[in-house]
Amino acid sequence: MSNQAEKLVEINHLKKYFHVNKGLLHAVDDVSFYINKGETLGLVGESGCGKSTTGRTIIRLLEADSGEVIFHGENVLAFNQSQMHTFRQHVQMVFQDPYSSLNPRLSVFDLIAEPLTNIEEYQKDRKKLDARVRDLMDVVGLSRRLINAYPHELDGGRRQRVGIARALSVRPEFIVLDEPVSALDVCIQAQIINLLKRLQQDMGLTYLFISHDLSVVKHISSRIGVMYLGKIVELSDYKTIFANPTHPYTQALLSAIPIPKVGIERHQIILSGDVPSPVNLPGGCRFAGRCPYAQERCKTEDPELRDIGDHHYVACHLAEKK
Amino acid sequence: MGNENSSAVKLQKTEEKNLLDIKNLSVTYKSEDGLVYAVNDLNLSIGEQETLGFVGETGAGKTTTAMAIMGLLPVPPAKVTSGEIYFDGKDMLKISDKERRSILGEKISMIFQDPMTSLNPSMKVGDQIIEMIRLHKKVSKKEAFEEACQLLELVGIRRERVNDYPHQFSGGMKQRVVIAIALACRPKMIIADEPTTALDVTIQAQVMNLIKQLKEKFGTSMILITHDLGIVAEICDKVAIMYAGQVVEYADVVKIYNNPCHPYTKGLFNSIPKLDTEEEWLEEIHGLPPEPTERIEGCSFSPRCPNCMEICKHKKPDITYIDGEHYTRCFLYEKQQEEVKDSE
Amino acid sequence: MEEKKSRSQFLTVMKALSRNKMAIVGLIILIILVFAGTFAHVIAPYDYAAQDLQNAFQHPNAQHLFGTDEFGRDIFSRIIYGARMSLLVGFVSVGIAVIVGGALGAVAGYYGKRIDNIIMRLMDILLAVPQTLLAIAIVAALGTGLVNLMIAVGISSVPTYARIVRASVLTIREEEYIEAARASGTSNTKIIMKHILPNCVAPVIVQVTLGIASAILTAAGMSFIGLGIQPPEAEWGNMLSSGRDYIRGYSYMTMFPGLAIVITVLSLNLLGDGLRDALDPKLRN
Repeated sequence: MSNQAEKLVEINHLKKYFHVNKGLLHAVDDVSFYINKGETLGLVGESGCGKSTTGRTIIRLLEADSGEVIFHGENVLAFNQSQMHTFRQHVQMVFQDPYSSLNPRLSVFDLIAEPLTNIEEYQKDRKKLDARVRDLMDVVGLSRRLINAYPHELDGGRRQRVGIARALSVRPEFIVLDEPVSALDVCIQAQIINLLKRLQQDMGLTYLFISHDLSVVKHISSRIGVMYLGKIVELSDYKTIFANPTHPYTQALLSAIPIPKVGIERHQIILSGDVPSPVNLPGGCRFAGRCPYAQERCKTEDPELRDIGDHHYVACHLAEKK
Repeated sequence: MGNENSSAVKLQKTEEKNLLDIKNLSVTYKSEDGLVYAVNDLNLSIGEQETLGFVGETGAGKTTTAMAIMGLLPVPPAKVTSGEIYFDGKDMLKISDKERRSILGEKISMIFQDPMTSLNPSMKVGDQIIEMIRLHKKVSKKEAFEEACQLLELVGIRRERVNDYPHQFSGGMKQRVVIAIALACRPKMIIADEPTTALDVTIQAQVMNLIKQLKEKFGTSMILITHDLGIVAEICDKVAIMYAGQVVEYADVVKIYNNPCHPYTKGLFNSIPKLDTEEEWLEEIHGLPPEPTERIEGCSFSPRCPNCMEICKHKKPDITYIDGEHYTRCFLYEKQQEEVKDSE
Repeated sequence: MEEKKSRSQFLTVMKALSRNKMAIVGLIILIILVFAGTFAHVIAPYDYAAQDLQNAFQHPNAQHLFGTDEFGRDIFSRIIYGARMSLLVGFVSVGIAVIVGGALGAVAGYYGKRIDNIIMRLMDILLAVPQTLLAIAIVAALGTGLVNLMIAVGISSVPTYARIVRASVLTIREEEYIEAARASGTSNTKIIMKHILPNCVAPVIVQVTLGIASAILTAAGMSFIGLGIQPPEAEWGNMLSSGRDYIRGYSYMTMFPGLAIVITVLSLNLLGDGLRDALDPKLRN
């Protein structure tokens, strides 16, 4: 493992199951990875693959069933209430839907100030709070005249800026970004991605960037993890993932992205079938049912995520060591 | 047929007959905050078997135009203030409701964005297809049932599932059912409103592939409303880029991708994160699209345009032809053409 | 800033409401009634209990607008004083119901599981008994009188509010902004007070307007059968009750209190319907 960079977050064997009518839903099933200080780890996958649940479990919006989340050397999952209170000031989250993640009855000021009102120094000093909120609005590029506006008066891009300002307000080190741009139009999406990148550079933030859109993830991440049915199937730096995708699912995912160019010939792998339900999982490799290369072994034996060289982790029996 | 190419717009004469001709269409909505100018002076045409990509951001007027074509605009608050829509020689804005109902579903059908809400949850999928068939064709129930089974197989669903309910299907499968319903009467034109936006990328690839195949098989024309320029590149013949209720650029797909002219089109292409190149920063189009109730004097893109000139702020640009059918609404090119004329 | 905020929301609702003419009619009638009830002692030409046996059974005339009853009391004055009683019973009993029911519903909805089960099954039992019957039973146990009537009518409509509040708490609890508030370190109490309850207010307000109407009806019904407010206090229900003996010759004695009830209930229902639309952000945008 890389030792030069300092690990800020380390996730070990994280598991989160949900009891549903039909049985046990394996939302996050033994997921391990780390995020270095100042980098962005992209987590991609299709709906229901457990990427959002992973993000929410890490910051304990959901309680994990087992595993640990190490932040600054301490296990977050064992924190008590007062430790959590401090933890929440170091770790923040930006949500996917800027329409439903903002309370429609609060003004922009109240929304941005909310995390700050949990901190004593701002509770007492109204002026300080006011100044900080205005400051944050400048940082994320929100015009100050909007300070008394309500969410329904803002467009999607501006709402997401409010969401980002909220997350930044407590000066966190680590932000979980759960599909922050997927509800936005392309042009607005570009604005928000650039904003997130600039903020990261200026403030030395560490991101966990969750998205279903590989091209967006590629643009912002230093390393990328690909999830399928609750497991990470491939994890590597972004260049390797795109230049040398090794897991068949990553390959299919990459080739399925429509490229905005005409006249290019490319081989599209069209997967047959749907993503199986994460309830009652098949034994063996979870991808075996849709995998064009599946062998007998894949149907019985679940592949481990292993390093095939240069910190390129793949969970596939067929992946060969470099 | 009643193709009146002599109208205010100098539509380039094409050999083939156009299936759909929209001329100078303007639609407004009444809202609390004032009049919304949803579509402004829009001109479009689609030939037989052609696929037109309709690209633009939220609120650009894509869906309003589609609804206007089908005559399904909610009136009021919507109002068509001017224009004509010829489909198959008939002016869709002037025909009676009865005539329109006989056209919808049979000659024009629609695929909606969200397969979860466009199917009736309490009706078997087979019955939903049969309903569509029997609405427009006088066939017995048995024949319709057989046809429904065939349609399901056509879209890649086993015929045994004809008696299943929508909730027993996954999102991708539901969209296949929606496609089967849309194809039930072998329409001349399909309007697909973001048909794959709600689907995952691997499922999207399956569904787009299916749409492409079936379109070719039946020779259907299609309007594909989308914001994804990648999908457009894969499936469309012609592309119309919409901004603030207007087509700002129109061309065949190769021309638009290799030679985008309008600054908005350029900006749109540049703001997509690319898979095949390295770039530190995405190029942004600064600012926001105009508020729907805002009336901009001059070109509606001028406040955000990097090439904005003095004239752009005061005058609305007219259609300028670049190359064949390829046109744009931008003074940059109008000027060039005048210079060419002058030098002649 | 706070002030500006609450006003702006109030204004948006009022603006939406003003587009509904019937609701405005209801509101105006209600304002007149509240005004009349509050200042009954100033407006009413006579004392509601002043007997004047010489002038008993007078048909409506210039002196007695609505006539007089069997004791010569001015019916117009009694109607005005009755408005005070009816509205008092309506508002107070609904107030009791909202506070008790709202608290029960919020607790049930927020904590869920066993507490929810216990509270809601209790509410189901209360709901199984017809509201009027329940109120009668409570008055029978506590005795008649204004206060007991309000308690009876209040308790009998507790389940309605418990259900409404619980249902909205359940939906709002799942909203993403609640999760966002938790992610930013906000405490549970603060989340309930700041995010959940304010978003429950809309359906409760609607139910309150409609609930006051039905409380007034129940109270009038109770007084009519002699379990509510007792004569000589002026209340529309007991006026109806005492007037019914003379309905053949002096129908105005029952007509005016009856009309008063109809108009009040109608105006509250119109207002309630209007508010329902005005408070629904989906219809507003």
